[in-house]
Amino acid sequence: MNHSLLPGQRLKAAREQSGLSEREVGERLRLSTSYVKALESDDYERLPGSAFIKGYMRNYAKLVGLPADDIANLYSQMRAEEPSRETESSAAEVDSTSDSQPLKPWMIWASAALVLVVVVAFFASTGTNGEVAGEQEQVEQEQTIDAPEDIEAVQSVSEGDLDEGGVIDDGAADLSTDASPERIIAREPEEDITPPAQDRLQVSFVDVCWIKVSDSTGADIYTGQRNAGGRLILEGEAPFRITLGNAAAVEQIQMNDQTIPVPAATPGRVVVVRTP
Amino acid sequence: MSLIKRIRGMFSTDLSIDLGTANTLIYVQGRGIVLDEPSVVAIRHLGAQKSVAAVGTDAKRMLGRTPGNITAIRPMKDGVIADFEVTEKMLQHFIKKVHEKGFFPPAPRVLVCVPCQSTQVERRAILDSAYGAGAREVYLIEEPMAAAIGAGLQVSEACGSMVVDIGGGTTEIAIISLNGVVYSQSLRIGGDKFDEAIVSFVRKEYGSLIGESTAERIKQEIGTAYAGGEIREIDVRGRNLAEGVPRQFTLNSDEILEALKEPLSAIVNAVKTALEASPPELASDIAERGMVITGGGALLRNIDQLLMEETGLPVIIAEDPLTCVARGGGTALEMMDTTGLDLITSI
Repeated sequence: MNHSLLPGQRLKAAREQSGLSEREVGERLRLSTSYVKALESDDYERLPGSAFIKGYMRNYAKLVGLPADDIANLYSQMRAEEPSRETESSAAEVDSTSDSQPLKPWMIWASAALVLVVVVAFFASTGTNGEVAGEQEQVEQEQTIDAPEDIEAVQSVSEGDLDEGGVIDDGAADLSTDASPERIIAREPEEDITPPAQDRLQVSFVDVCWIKVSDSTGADIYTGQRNAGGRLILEGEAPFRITLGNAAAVEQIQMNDQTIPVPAATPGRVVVVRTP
Repeated sequence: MSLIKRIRGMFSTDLSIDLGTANTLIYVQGRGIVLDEPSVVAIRHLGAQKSVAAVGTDAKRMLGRTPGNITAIRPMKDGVIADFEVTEKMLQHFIKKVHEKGFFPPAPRVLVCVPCQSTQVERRAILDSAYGAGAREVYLIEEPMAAAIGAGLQVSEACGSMVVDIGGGTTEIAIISLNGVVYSQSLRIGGDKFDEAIVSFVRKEYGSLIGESTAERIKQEIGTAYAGGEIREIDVRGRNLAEGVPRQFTLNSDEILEALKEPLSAIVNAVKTALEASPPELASDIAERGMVITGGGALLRNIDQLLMEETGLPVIIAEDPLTCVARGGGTALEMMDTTGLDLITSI
């Protein structure tokens, strides 16, 4: 058995080998066919919590004669690796997801860093010209208040915090165009380099590898397996989220002729790559 | 609370205790399960004086094999305290064992699991014996709640989860949603009743008497809850009632299935009753996701098959079912500290 496969893939292969249909498996395990499909495609979003997924996998594995513990362990191993991998390779993603999302930990850190920068800038300016400091502080304070919603503010300030004029200008601009959602829409075109048109993703492989690609809306645009020397060309809207069953099998990933780094991994490791 | 107790508390760790009829487990956050021993105490009688001869595994070995001056007893019965003083001694011993290195006598914060339909008197007894064993603070949590947390279910979600915890003395069936127990039912049927059923089956069919420990071994090795699958066999020795001498005979798993029919059908009926009594929204959640079995009874072969066939719902066995309650209690203690969550039942 190929251990680089995801648990769902192994279950599916074993099911096909024993000649059962998805519906029959569902009937035997008392699960709906959609759950069986989700299990086989490793689409855990559509399934209840991991305790249930593990239990279903055990039951499924027992039914098709696979070692139940192996499958369950494979799943928990994958779950344990996934979040850390995502944080590692999501550095490029920061400026692309600036739309109004719920507060994430990095946003809090970003705003904390911004407050620090503002405080440092304030003290630096009081040292040189004390009389302007009062108004300047006010402007900057107000800027920090709306900062968590707007990650672009972090960028502009961190770029411009060395010269004081820049800071004041930026703050003033932010204040004049109030209420965050409109401002984001207004500023988006000049900041965003990638046009809303179709992006082209190209992945080439040196070994057999399972791959799943989802686009900016989160919908899966490709799920399947590629052999050594294979090539996958997809078009869709960036950012893409690529789940690789065997990261070591990937030669390179290109998006719009731009190479995206693949995290170095030992064979058989599951890795999630996000493109900008 | 005295100052001394508070100082001693600084040298103690928080414990989550699953005080079960068959086994007592202690879980410590960060260290895992630190103690897993049978709830058995052997008492030596010296005239009118009584002293503890052994506790836990050592005492269990003595069960049914003791001379006249030692009695090995199980202080818990049907999930609640049957012998108050002995339970206190046993807890004291276990708590001390967990804190081996300490210089001071330990005074930990303790969370103890109680069956969900235990009476106030029974809960008070558990509370008092934990205080008597030296605990600084004692909290109680309902067993199925702890089992659900330990099994990794999302108990805080607005979604029904059903837990069937088959322990040594009781079977707890509960439907949980939003950190609360919506429905609960406690049956005084568990692993012990399975053993008893095996003993009486062997007496009836083979005219031989076997002990509880032998019955437990039979259950663990060849017991099954649902027909089908491989047939296993075991050789056992018991005293033939007619001849009066020990005889050897062979039992197979089909016979044990026959023996266990009665206690198992009681559990199945209780599960069905729980499903009938559950509100429709929660029932649909359960029908979609299924129920989770925890506790030692989950290790009985094919118990999931039995419940799956009888209810027509998906049934899964929790990971490491024996320790679910103790681990869940530890997590609950932590949740209580961090989020001020009120999972803990009061008297």
